Amino acid sequence: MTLSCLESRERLLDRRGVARPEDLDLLAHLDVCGECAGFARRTAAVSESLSGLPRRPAPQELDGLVVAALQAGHRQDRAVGGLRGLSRLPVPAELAGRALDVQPRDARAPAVLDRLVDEDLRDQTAAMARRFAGRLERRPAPRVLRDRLEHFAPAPLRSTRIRRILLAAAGVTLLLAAGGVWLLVRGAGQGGPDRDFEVRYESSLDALDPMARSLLAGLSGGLVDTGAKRRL
Amino acid sequence: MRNDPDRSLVESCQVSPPTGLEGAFRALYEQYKDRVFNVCYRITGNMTDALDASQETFGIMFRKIGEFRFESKFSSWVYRIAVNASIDIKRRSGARWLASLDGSRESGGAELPRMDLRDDRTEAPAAAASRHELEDEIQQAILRLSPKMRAITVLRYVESLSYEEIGEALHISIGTVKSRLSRAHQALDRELTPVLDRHYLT
Repeated sequence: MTLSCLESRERLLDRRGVARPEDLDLLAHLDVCGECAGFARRTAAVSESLSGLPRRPAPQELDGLVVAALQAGHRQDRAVGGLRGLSRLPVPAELAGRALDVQPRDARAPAVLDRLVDEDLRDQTAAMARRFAGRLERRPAPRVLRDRLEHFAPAPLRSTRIRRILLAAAGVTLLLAAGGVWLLVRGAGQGGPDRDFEVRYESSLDALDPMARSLLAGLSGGLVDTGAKRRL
Repeated sequence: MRNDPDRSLVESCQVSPPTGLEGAFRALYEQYKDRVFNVCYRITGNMTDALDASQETFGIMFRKIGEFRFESKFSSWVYRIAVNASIDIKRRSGARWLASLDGSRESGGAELPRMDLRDDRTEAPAAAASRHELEDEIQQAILRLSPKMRAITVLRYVESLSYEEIGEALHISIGTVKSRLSRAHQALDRELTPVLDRHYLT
């Protein structure tokens, strides 16, 4: 009976890459299949390299650590045992009565309880961790974190500030420009001197009329002015 | 599990629960401490985490030994605790490491695992250096595996457990053991074959 490549490789993994003398069918397959023979060589080499890793004996300090852990665990057990052994005080009659008074008559477990109990039973550690993590106090980020961020990533923080200033400046310029236009229109309506519009094509920003330039700066959110500065 | 070699020691611990590292529990500790530490070391990849994981393993063993019912071999149970503690510690220390990236950058990667040089007296310095380099590369390849595959690789090749023992230790079927080992082997083959070729050809 001849083995398939898949069966041969499974067997080689079981044997850590080395066929035994009694594995006649496997040996026969390896004689005729170069790929499986290569797989056997590689598997043997990898297995050997892993099993050849030196064993790490436990260091001396482990004894001390384990003794400390066991003592802490024992103290904890004793404390829990002591708490469990405490006698239960009887509830004063008036308090018990009051508690019964405030208890709703048709108290029903909310639907979410099923899920919570189920999660708790499935993975108690995770559930406990989640419960306590949820109660942790939220701490504000310390000032030193912001300083560090500014130190390591100055560009984004500064650019945000500059962008805000530019935006505010653009808004003011736009308002001023709108006011100017309104005054011109009103002046024209009151019979003032006629003003003609002139269409001029400028190849450079620097050649623009200052009024037109400030209007353009306002409309572009200050980008035109910034560009001009960079060119300078 | 009728013929568990640790049965009498475990039962002694169950009859008179240990109050510290003494008596039957001490005997179990001595029997397992090297195996546990070795597994923890190979899964976490460094001494500090391996110590933490070993300590946690014996702490859990101490607290839970009374509940052990011999449904599996005691050794499988111990391996399971050690594997879980190591994976857990590795995950936590990974988070710590990410949080202190700045520190490790300044210290030039002092967190990297180090191999000890116990056998250097018996071999030439160049050969020892080459061996350490190879060991380091093999350990790094193990650490690049996913936690599940890392655990199975360590149990199979470092601790030489059978498929049945691995299945018992990790609570998985033999089929799953085989398929995970096959995948781990593929990954290790990809990582290690060039390393081994380079090492043995030079």
